[in-house]
Amino acid sequence: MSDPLRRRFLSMVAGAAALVTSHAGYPKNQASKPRRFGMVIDLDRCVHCGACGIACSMENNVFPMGETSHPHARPIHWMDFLSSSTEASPLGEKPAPIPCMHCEEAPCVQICPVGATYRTPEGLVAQIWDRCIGCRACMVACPYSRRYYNFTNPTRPPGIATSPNPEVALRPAGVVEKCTFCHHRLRSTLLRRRLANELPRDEDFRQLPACAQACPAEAITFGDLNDPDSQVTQLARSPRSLRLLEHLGTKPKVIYLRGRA
Amino acid sequence: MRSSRWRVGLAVLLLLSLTGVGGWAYLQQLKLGDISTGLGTVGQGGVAWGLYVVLDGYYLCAGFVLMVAACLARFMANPDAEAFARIAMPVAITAFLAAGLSILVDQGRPLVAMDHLLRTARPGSPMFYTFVLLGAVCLYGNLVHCILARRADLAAFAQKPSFWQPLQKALAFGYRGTLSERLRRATCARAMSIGMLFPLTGILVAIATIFVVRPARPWLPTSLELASFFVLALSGGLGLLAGAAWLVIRLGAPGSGPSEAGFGRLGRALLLCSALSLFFVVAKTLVGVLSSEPAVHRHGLALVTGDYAFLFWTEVGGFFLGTIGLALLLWRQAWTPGKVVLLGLVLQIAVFMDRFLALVGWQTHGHSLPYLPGYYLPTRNEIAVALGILALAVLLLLPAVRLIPFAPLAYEPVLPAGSNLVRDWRRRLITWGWMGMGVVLLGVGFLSSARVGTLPSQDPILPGSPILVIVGLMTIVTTGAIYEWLPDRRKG
Repeated sequence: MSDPLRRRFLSMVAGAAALVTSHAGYPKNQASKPRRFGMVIDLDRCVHCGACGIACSMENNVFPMGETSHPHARPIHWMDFLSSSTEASPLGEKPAPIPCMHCEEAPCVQICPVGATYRTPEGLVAQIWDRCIGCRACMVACPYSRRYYNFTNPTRPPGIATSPNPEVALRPAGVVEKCTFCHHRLRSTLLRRRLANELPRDEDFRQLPACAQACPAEAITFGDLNDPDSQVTQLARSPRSLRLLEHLGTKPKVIYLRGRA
Repeated sequence: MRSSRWRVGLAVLLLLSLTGVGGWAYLQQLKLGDISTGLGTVGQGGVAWGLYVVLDGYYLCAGFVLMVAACLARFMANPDAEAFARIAMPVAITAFLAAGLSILVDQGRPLVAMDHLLRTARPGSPMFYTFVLLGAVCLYGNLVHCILARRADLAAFAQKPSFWQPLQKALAFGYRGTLSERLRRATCARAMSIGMLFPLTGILVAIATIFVVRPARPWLPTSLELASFFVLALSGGLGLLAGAAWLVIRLGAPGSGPSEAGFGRLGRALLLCSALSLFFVVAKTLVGVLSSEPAVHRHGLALVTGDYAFLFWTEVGGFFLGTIGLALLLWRQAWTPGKVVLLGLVLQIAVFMDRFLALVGWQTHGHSLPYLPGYYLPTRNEIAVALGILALAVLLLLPAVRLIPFAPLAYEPVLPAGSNLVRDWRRRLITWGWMGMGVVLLGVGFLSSARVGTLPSQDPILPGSPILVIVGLMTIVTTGAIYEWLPDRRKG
């Protein structure tokens, strides 16, 4: 890289960094308003195609790990499907998508001994892979069983030639992982709006996670539950809304809509 | 004597082999990842915590009971109680060491775990208390307590030339057996015995929380499970004590272990614990099977008639056999050490089964959501690692037994009537000052770790605060040594 070009590049980076770190020129009400992101899954719209699960795996570098990979399959599905296998499911008989609930009173956050699981200012339950010690206490504590342990190092099975998504870190063996509500997409969206000196709009978030984007029936909606005008808040107020295991007091932020039998 | 040496040599060889196999198995686990274990994903038919955590709970409970028994024995001026206490202390330390190793091999990233726990552990998690108290109190504190209790014996052993003589001399340095030293020993033994009970209870509560508290389990099954956890801890610990005492009698010098009457008293305590254990196991299972809560009902059925029926009925059979056997011994007044140990061993198996089922069964059958039930059995690799840990812990116990043999030389339970400690302000000042330093370190470390009033997931204010907590606790338990080791002031 030539000197003028390098100088220009560095000045651009410095300018962007200054813009991000300072609140100058940024709408004042944005900094003071806490966001609380959540998801609404309309089971009446869901066609049970499984596209959300596949999109999630591709986006977040969750490689398929089945019987062919090793004798004891310990598959990882950030977006899994709950079906009424043994008894009546609160989500109906057909397989229903079930990501991490990003609980407001998350037991996994409380029990993590080293702060590897924490709540972000946006209300997401996030995980620092590098800090995780692999004690698996969070897996036992999660009443929704939405956490997965990496029993081996990630290996792409033959046939998957695409390179992993560079925006999402690969998790090593010995750490626990889970759905992040595509936190990387959320951060880049917020940053893009901030650099443009604009407030993020509800439309920016609605189909933001990979699962919501891939859903052909638009059954998954994402957004700020603290914004009374957002679509996700409107849907959450529906009389069809229900939350899984609400009686446990975990306050899950994934809300299901289920009305028709 | 030669026969005894031959047996000890064979035992050492066996322990070394087991340690070697366990070490190799653990290397495999590190190399391949936890794929070499039988663990899986909760909700998909697997368990996140398996044999290692079961053993951690088992060893911690056994160590707790042994240590409490040793502490309580200090208040009884009884040779049998003293003999049991002498045996219980090193066995408890061995159990705590095995517990620590068991939890370490369970970590996905053991080196990272040691680093991150020491730097950023948070008191909001029960794991904090497990590792902090295990390191500072259960291992270090008990070691201090054990050495101080045997210091008079160490001084006597140090008179005879042996390989261990320099270390024995160092540990008994300055001890003359004067009346004031014996009085200080009695005061310190009482203070440490009472003081140690609090952190020991703390670690038992922490491990009980890990074993018993489960999402969506209602209060009645939880309460019964909790009561059962504590009672079974007593059964396991006293059974282990009986086994250890029997080994000491068989392999140790004459007069090392308790008498038959002592075994009789231990047998009666075991009978009570065994009967209570049986009651609680039956009660909690009945409550589970009859529960209207789907998860609790499913778990209860899995135990009684489902996947875990064989293990469950082995457990019930163990407690039943133990209770009946011990009741018969009581009826006939035939408390022989061999019979008590045999029934204690049966109880150990039953306690282990209960710990296994309590931890594993709930993960595979206690889901709050309608996931498919699963099953868990440890792999050969896990069993080899677990046996290796046990063998290593016992191997480390052997030099300790050579350093401080179980046979007492200087046991004088009764102090002369009317003897009182002379007030020594210098000793008091130094002792309280030392303890105050420990309390300050503990307080600063704890408050920095806990960050009261802030988010629970935040890092400690001072990096490495858990180390401060550990050092503070270690300083506090060292107070006993400071109090006893400070020499008397010379008159004039």
